[in-house]
Amino acid sequence: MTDCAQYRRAMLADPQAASPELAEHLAHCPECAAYRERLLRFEGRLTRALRIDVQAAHEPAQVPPMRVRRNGWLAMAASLVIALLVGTLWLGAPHASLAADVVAHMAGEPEAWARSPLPAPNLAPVLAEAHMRLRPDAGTVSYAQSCLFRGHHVPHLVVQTDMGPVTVMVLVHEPVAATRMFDEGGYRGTIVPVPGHGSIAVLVKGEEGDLAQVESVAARVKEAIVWTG
Amino acid sequence: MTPDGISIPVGPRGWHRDALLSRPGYDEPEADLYMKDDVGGNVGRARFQALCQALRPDLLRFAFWLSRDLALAEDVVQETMLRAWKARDSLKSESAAKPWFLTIIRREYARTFERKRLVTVDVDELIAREEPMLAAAHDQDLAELRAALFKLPEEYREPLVLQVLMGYSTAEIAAELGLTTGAVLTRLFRARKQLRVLCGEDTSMDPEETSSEVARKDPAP
Repeated sequence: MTDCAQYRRAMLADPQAASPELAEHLAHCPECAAYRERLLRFEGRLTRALRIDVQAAHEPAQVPPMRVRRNGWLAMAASLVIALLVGTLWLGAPHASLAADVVAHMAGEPEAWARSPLPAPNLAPVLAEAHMRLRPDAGTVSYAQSCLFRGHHVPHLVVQTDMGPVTVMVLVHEPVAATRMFDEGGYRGTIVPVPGHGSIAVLVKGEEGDLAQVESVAARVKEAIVWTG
Repeated sequence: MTPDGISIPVGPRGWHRDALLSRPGYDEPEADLYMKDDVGGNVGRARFQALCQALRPDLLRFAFWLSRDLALAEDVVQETMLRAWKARDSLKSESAAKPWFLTIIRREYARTFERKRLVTVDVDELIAREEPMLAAAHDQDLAELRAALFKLPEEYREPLVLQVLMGYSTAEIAAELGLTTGAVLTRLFRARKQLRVLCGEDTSMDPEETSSEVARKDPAP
């Protein structure tokens, strides 16, 4: 039988800890339920605190100085490849901040992963607000909410796919130059440019799908959007 | 900067990188590797690049919380990616990429630490130096929490970051840090307990440590 001290110690070590013993104690102890509630709020702040904005940290990378040696031209070619590779990574990195904001937004809507289909009357107004419709081939939409994101209301959808629920955020006010993949804070996804209409972010929780599958879903959803304005 | 370019432990941003890259004995990439890659096509390189790009923000955050020094974190991540590129054949699956990179980062950080013989710096100095990174727009509480994280001993901060930021389970943290799961849980317990005190949270309902937890040596702050 778990007592209050054991329960709280377990929560302090891992607030996400779940076991039948802990659940049983929680069900019968309002003090620990209140304690857990406060701890989870603190945990939310802790998560946000750790997710520093790394956008400011991005600078072009420097490559190691080259030494002349027997296969000098090969070394030079290799260093050039490294320079291009790492340099490109750094140049592409500022988009990660948008990804971080998308991921941070997910934490605020845990109910969004509901699996039952959303009635059409609930979906249409959310899409209409962003001047868009969605063709059925996008998949079954199980959640739709107009969310405040970076100062604009944007459609936040959950589409059921073969790989499970996939979140789609239509970011009309967030143009990006190129497709960017991200793997942050327990979410994997991609941000895809939509010429003239900003971008869309498509992401899944944790290890539910690989990035190639996410890319494929993003392409399908992008094709299924019909812009009405 | 000293003539060998490696003995400056802390300094204005940018020194670390110069020191790191100009150090003697740097292992240049093997040219053959890239020739093979060219013959094999660009798919592998593009995929690796996409992977690095996707993971980099979290890797940089991890390195930052490990070192509490953005310039050093950038150097460590940069070096990590170069090492990872050279050793990419040992990565069997993309899903294992993040722990693979994190392990390289930890080793690289340890190497840098050892190589530079970093001096102990006053935490308040570190906080002042990294103030732009710690500041959170419209949220003073968040900035204070970040400053409190800076004050946590590394032994507590690292498992906490792995758990909260990287989503590691207790067993995964134990494997990464070479500890028992019991030791990891104790460190996580102490990390949150100290953090809550530092942040002025109401800790009246927080439990005390058990005797077995107290028996585990507490690292010096």
